[in-house]
Amino acid sequence: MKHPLLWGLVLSLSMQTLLQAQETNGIRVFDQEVPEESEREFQFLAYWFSQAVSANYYPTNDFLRGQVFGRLYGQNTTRSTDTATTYYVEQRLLPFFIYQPKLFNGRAILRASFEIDFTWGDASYGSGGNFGGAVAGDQVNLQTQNVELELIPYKNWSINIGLQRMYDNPNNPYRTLFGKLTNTGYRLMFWGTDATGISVRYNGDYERMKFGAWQFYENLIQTDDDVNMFEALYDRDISRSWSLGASINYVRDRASGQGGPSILGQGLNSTLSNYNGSYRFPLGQNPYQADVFWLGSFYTHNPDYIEDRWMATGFLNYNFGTVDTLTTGENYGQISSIGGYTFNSKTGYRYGKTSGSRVELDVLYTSGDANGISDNRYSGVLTGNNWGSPVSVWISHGAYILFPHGNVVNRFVSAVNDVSNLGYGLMGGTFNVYHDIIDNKLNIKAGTAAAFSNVNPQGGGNQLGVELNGRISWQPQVYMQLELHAAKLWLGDFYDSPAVNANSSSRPDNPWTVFLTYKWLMF
Amino acid sequence: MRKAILFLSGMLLLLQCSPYQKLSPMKSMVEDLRYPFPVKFQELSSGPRMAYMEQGQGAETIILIHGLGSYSPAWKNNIPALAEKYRVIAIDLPGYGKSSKGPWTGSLEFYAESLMEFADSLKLKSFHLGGHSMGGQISMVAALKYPERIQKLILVAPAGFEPFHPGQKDWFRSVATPSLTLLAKPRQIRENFAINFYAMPEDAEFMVEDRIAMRSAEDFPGYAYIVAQSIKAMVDRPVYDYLEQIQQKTLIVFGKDDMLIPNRFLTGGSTNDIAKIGDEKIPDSQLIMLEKAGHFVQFEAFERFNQSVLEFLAP
Repeated sequence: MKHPLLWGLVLSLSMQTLLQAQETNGIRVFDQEVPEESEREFQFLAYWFSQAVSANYYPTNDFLRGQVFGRLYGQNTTRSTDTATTYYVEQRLLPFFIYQPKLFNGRAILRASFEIDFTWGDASYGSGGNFGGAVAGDQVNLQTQNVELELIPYKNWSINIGLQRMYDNPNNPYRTLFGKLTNTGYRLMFWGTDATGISVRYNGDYERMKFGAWQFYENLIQTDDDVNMFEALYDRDISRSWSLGASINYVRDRASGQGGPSILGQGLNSTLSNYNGSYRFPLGQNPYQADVFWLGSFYTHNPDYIEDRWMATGFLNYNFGTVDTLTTGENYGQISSIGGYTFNSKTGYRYGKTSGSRVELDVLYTSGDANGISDNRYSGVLTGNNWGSPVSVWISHGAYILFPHGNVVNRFVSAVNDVSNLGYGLMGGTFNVYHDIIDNKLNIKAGTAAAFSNVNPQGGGNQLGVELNGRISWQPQVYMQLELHAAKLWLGDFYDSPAVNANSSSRPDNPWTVFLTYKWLMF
Repeated sequence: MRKAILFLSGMLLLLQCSPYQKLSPMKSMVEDLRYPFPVKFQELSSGPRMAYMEQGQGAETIILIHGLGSYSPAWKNNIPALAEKYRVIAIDLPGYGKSSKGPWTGSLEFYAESLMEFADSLKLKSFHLGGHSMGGQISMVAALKYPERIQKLILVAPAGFEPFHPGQKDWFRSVATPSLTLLAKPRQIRENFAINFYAMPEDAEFMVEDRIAMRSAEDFPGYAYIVAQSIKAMVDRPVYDYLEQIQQKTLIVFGKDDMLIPNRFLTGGSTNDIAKIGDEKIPDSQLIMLEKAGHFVQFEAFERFNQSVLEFLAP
């Protein structure tokens, strides 16, 4: 085959001759054929989000102005007060570029998306040193969110390569609405962020599979000092409207706390844990090796409230493994075991015509104890928040301050920001009532949330707090929403403890927030 | 350990379960779809062969047209009751059900013309015409185009009362691709049907099963093609501005819990408001809103629907 173009031409001419012969012989082979169309080659989507926020909690560290995440009263310096109130406007644009070359007939898709965030009048999350917004606001603030290639080698199979969404969910995150992703599988409670790696998915008629290999951290490329995650997930429809899944994840951590966001590091012994409210293993600066597994099962029924009036979703997940610390003499030998579990159940009932008129109860239990690893066993929960932030984004519960809310540009802060609750564990939940005043147009919501720690921190009790919240939202156009939110959290006696309230001698002021948001998913 | 083994065994047992296990894949929609009444066929000069079910011996005839993506068995709860007094003919539009698939334009005018040729072939000079959803919009086009042929009009949750601006129409055209139909998985298919009902009845499951099974049929790509063409056709031939010109006595029936009209993504709002627009614009119309019924109102609330139609058609 020295001249493929020539052979192609010959083949093409032969086919044309054959077709003409069929037509001239009067064979009506094409009468019933329907025209075929290819998919669109280029698509641009964008998500616009802006909000005006007032609250009585904020970081007290100048360095963290505009970008702060993690646990209220944690090392990120967020504090609530009755002496100052925030007023600010922030905005985010997520542009998505999708290119699907026609020559590959839908079997190769390039996706790239970016985050352009800032606070009005500030250069937060940017660089360049220009402050002042409108008059001197030039700044470098384009972050890469996703750059990934999806290949479809066979029907129902897809391979995604690159920086992509690694959600703990059986559905393809690029073909599923975000609302469903936060209400199925593990609801992004463990892994709800973007990461570099490769994932392979099968999406069949009644079953879905996902295999992933991820590189969280690569320090010295010639050295085994990396953090990797491997996962396998299987989900199956066991009846017309119920599905059941199971999964296993494995994190191999050889980085000993190196890397991670900014100066915080990442890993089991990093300062990151003090920011986001996960358990910080007291390993000091000693090198360590950790092998952590998550084994779980999840179920889903009717997450969109379409098939009938009841919705149910939930999971049970057990995390286990070991942390092995390098002691004197260059031997790894101080081993602590890990064994904790998470149970979540969310049930909803649609009492009205649309899914906008519903009630939902969301219950969460995480294990934990007071003694950390002093007994050589960590009994609490581990999430992705130990290796990044925010990685574990449980945001579909309806609370705002007790648990984190999804209306976020770069301030992702709540009382219980990581479900491990500092390794103490918790029992909590939310109850929400939604009502469509005008179907699919004008909606109101009222909710409450409460949580109790499994452990009383020194000097404190087990009540984390009780929250009341409300929201009114109006959809003037398709996928465009104007929303007014308000929430207040009454802190419990858990926060009487200086160990969890930033060494304060008294319980902090109850945090509250009010914000007006404008969202538009453009497509 | 024993509990863990029991748990894992239970999980494995559950994972053996699967819905629709008894479903046989179809080779041909024309051959393998099972209809509740005997099926006849009529060749049209424009090419397609139309399938239809005919019941009843009445002096007057009612022709029923199904909605988007549907077929004539969608009228199975209505045909027996109406056939007690009327000759009832439920058709499969070209490209749908047992009718032949092909490169039909799918325009509403094409369907109206096909309907008239079909009626001619049965020597029907005039008849009552009923249409569900897209079939309702086709019925209105036929009533406007051939006013002398249509006696009374029955519009069942009809498309066409809800106006869309040019940008929305273009959006519909761009998203209406055969892939939407070709690639839909069983769960999505079931949701697509379920949203048509206030509470999907068990006897509507046959529609879901047919739709899942037909994916393997040789004529399924032709079906997927015509569904996309039909969506484009509905936005290309709005009837909103012509409703005042409908001359026939018209019955409009909606389910109060219709979740498809108005469009829940593009506009939102009340079904009642949209229904009233049609009722106010069509000169000789009456509107009935049925409680606890969705978009498939004639199937879900068939007793109340049948009674309303019989009362409407009575001399």
